[in-house]
Amino acid sequence: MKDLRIETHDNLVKIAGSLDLQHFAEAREALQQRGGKREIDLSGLTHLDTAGAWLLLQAAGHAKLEHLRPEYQTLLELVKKAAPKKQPLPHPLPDWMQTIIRLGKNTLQLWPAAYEFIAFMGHAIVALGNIIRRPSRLRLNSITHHMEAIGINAVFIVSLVAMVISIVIAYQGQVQLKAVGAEQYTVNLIAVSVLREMGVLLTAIMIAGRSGSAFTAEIGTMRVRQEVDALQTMGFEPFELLVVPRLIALLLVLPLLTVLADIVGLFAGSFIMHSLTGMSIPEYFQRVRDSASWKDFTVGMIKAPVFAFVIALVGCMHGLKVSGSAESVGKETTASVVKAIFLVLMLDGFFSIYFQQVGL
Amino acid sequence: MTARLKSDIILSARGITNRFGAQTVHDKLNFDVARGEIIGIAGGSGSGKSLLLKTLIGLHRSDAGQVDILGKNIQQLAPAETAFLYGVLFQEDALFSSMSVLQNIMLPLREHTSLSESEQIDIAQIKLALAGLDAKTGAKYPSELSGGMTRRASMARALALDPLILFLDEPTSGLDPINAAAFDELLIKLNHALGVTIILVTHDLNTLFTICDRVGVLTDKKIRMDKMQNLIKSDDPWIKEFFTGPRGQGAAMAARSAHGNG
Repeated sequence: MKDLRIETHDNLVKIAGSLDLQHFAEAREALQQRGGKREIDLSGLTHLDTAGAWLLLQAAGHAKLEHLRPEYQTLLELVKKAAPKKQPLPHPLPDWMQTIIRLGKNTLQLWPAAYEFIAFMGHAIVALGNIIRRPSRLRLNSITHHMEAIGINAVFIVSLVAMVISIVIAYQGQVQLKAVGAEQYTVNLIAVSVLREMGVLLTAIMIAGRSGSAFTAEIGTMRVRQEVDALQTMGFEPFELLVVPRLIALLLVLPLLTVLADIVGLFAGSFIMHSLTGMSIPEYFQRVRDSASWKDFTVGMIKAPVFAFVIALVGCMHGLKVSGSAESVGKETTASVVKAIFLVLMLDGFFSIYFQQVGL
Repeated sequence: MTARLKSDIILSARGITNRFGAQTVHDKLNFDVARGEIIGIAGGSGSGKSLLLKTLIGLHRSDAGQVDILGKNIQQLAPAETAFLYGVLFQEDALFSSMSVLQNIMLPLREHTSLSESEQIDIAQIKLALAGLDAKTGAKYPSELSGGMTRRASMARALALDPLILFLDEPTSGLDPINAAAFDELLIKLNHALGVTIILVTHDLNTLFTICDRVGVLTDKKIRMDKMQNLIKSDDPWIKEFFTGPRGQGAAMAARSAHGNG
């Protein structure tokens, strides 16, 4: 690009070459330091852009522009009209105050969010009721498709997590219980914690992260591309078509995955106990039978469909909440995973208290 | 005269060839664009208009041939250089949705110039006003804008660095006729005032008839670039149909009456 040349004479500043964005800093400097010079000669100007024109306009407040070519005159007038009116911007509040305001706003959002979720849950229950009355409306294809995506494709990762958590419990328990000479009781610890808590809880968390997020992203993308609107105009109930199959699939699959996690967890425990204490595998399972009962297994299994219900609903609800932009798909997906995991953990706490009270 | 003309050529495409597998889309296209021209590129659906635009701005590497801007091969230009050479208005506007309109316009300024924050804001506001938006729009996010405003905001961003060439992909599609006409006028205004060269892909016949100095029509893998009055007389059946069909005649009439009044 051509250069910018600025010369200073007695009462005159000569600007030649290109006065543009790429020479902005130079030009600004020179125009600021010109002191009391009252005239700016522009006869040598070969290129002027909006940024340059704006600089000239600022300088022209107290100087005369000479020998300006007519085509630059149009540009100057255009920029003059477009130039921002110098009005002080509203002073932003300090950061700490904004944080407090945001906190307040988010807190106020809690009630509407809870209300929304309860309304959505009601909608889901009504839709399930309708399906039971007219089973022909059940979309079996869609349900089996989702069962494969949520269930079969998750078998490996759910097993792996169940195995790892069983190993962790065994190691930690064995170290602590050895100190009081109750090493064999590690088996009780593994059996009860896997069956009552860990099997179902970790499976639910994995599925919330894996499938709850997928529900939100899938339905959300359909909203962005107006597919949901298209369904509606064709006389479909988006709820029945998008939410119900996912809900039923997850209700069926999460208990099955929980059983899998329980089995894998117990087996992993047997291997780890064998390698840590030399306990034989039949002896391990005998101890499992002595320490844990069907009651423990039932407690875990009661929780599975409840968690499934919450994960599916949160995932679908946030998917349908997506509005227009691609960015909101990401935002809703994050919200859906965080909310689903939080609700699962909170419900698990309630269940613990409840089962304690009723003596299960 | 010829020597002067030659030096005024800002973009030249030589032997541009694009293929998809065995299918040839462009077959050795040659054309030049002079400084300050408004060039329209037209053609039927699937004739490779958008692909040609992508080739011209270097996003697509053609199978053969090369595009020079100011005598330099665009494939060999550094990203920072291209930013000052041309601005692009994408078909879907491509405003960054996580930023306000003003931040969108300031982004190239922040990256490629040493302007202070307040200077960036001032320049960005000038661009907003040039694109016909008021200062309040700057604080809004793309999702809060109407179609016409989004197009103008995207235009303001394309102008951020005062590029020499402005590329536009279907600038008037999705706009109502009033907004589309206003956008055409905006293009003429910017072309006159900033001297910016404009290359636009469109099948808006009104745009082609009213504002373009020359029009390049893509038919049969070739481009035919000429003044409108010559293209109308063309023997090519597609070109004939395109410009002298019912819609073409309507647009031609509208352009004539507009010129008559102005």
